[in-house]
Amino acid sequence: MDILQNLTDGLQVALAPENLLFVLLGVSVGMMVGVLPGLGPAPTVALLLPITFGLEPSTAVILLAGVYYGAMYGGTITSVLLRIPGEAASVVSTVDGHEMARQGQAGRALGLAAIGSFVGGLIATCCLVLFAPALADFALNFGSPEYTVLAFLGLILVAYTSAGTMIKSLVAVGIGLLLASIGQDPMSGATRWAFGVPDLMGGIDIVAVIMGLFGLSEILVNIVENRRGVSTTNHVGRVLPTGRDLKENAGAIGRGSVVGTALGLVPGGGGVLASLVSYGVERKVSRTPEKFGHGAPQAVSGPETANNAASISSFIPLLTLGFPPNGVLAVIFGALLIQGVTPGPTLIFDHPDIFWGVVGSMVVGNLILLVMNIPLLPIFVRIAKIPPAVMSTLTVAILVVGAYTINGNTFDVGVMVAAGLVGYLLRSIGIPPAPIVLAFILGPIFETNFRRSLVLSDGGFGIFASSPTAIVLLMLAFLVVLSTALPLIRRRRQTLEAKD
Amino acid sequence: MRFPTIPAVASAGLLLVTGCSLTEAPASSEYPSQSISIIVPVPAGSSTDLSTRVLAPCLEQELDATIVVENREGGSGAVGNGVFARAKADGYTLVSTTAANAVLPPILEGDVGYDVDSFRPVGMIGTAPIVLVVPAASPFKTAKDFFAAAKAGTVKLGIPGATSVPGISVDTLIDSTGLGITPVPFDGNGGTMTAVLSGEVQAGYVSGDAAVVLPRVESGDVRVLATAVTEPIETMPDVPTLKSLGYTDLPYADSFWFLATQPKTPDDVVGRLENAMKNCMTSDKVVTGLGKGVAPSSFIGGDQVATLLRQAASDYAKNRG
Repeated sequence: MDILQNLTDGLQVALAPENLLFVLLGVSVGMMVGVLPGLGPAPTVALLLPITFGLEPSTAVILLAGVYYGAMYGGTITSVLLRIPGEAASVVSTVDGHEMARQGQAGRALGLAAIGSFVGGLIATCCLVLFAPALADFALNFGSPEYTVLAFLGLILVAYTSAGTMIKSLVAVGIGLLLASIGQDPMSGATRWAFGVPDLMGGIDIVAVIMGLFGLSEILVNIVENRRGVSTTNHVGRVLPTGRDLKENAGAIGRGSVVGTALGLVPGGGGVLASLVSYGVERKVSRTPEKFGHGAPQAVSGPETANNAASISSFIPLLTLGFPPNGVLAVIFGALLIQGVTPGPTLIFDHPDIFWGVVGSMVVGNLILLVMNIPLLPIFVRIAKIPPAVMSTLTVAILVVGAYTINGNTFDVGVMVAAGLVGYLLRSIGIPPAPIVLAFILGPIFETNFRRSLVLSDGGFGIFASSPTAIVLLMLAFLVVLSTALPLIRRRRQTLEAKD
Repeated sequence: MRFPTIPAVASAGLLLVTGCSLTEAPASSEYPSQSISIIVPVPAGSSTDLSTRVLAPCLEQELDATIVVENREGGSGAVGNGVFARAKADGYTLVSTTAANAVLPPILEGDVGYDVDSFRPVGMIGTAPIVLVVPAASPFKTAKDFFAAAKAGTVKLGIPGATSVPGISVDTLIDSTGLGITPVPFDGNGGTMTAVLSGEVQAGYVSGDAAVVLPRVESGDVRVLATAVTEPIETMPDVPTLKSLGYTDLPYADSFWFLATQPKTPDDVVGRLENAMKNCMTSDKVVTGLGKGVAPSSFIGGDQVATLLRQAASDYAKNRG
């Protein structure tokens, strides 16, 4: 009953005229950037940050969340019709989705993806409603040792699951940790890495870093690679799936929902990983795996369901533990901080309007997306063909003005530009930006709690295994490390044996 | 890592306006003839910021000028106070800062572009006494219990940051008495109070602010054992001061914040400002707006604040130097 009451309240928040407007705005912008090749959800959300400064906290998150899952719907369109991923989580659909389009079944692919996304979104929202309050309740009892171990596990998972090789992810995590250590030492108050520059003494601003690493570097990559959509098909065909279609894809959509919801929770996971895993799962369970790669509908409906479910379930760690599991959520973490709300286990209790309002907006937003998707298809196809020069210029201008408005400080503009350039250079050698930002957020949580625990225990490391929660989390971290180390060891042994 | 807060998007534009006008300082007899900006070197929403925004409308009326409150946070106050110290001494760029933010960065960091002599105080805005608190269920019923335990062994004491005023105060206490207290820094008053309530630390040593600490005292969740100020707190007359308990050598430990201008500002301008401040700080509207126990019971003028500020500076310098 309590949940129903809260959900009703949440829907009321979401349906308030202003919030309804921003859900609509959020999902429309999300659809658009999903459709536009190159600009993914993380850069867009970073770009929209300055707009949220003047909004209510709940409205701000509603807007940014809408962009995120909206992009999951939009990305499919470009992948299917143009064979370029509108955003990374839709890469999978460029194969079978586009193949279906070439066979004149573009509408069928898009319709199934939209319905799958809707179902996946609703299932993930239900999980958010059912599990988040309990998880937050549990996390309220976390002390310094539990947070230390949790942040440690988070850092390991970020390095382990992020795109790219593990060494490169580890390098990215290291860079994030180094950047986070600029400013005041949390325990002694001594200044680190400031070189006498007063602007550095308080550390560098996370929002400026995010805007640079995600926003500016993305633009630079786009300019250099000169990505461009080439339309190969405009023929969409019947969009509404038939009953038989739905029946054949129900399994894929169900499995996609589960896979997506689960992988959204994992730090470093999110939509990309979810869609890839879902594709693998569908291929494995399919009775006709040979059709995969040649236009199998399940290869579209499963992954597209999974990426949307993941985008929604990834709000669970942020809103309950204060841990953003991926880049987009890192930006939303920043947006909440700007509003004076520190995400953590007390958020659901202190700011129920934010939590339940966002949940309500997800229901409303997914409904809007489902309805909007089909009739507006021709418009989105046209958006995909906006010249990159126009988009890039506009985006850079917004980024510069946005960085300035964070604190009204030109130093932050410098930080944003520097982060953008560095981010571009790192990406050009294959080091992804997301782990940098996630480590930048998790690093101080880890350091402060680690050192505080040691003060509390008079230097004894036993404190990190002093509660059941801490022990379980430690074992999980150990398992993750072991699971990555084992194949390495085995391979090493094989090479050694081969030498013998 | 620095956490941003609500940025003054509007003030970005106003900043340009006031910034340009600084070049042409008018004769001081006409003061004020243009808008005045008050720099707040801490994030919007902090207690210094909120009380400055309570004071500003009253000052606007008294001075008949537009007042812009500008948050320039960073470096524990070093960024905003530096901007203030470099501005022209004409009474159009003021600062509202805590004593800690004015005094500590130059002591801890060396050259930050200002020091205690860069401030010519105009008047006190608010104070928060430092209090020693324990959870309601704590075995420490009185300050005596606490200090007996501290003498016997190690008491874990939560503080709101290593370089916070309570942090420095407790360091002095330990140095001068050899008490077995381990200070554990948490994230501000909020983090410290959470740790006190959950029992992660046995006690907390925090400035009794109206946002986090005083409500917990009123609700009975925590008990105040002692206060670090020299005079008993008006709202808690029964709470002993550390001085009355025999701990005398403590640095000036009231957290206080004040309005200041640059030392070279013309005397008549400072006089005009101090007068306006006095009228505001004794008006019911401002006093109620600042909250119970925050506004001083009678106006504390520039010279008095300057004395306190210098005392705090020499106490902290002695302790950290």
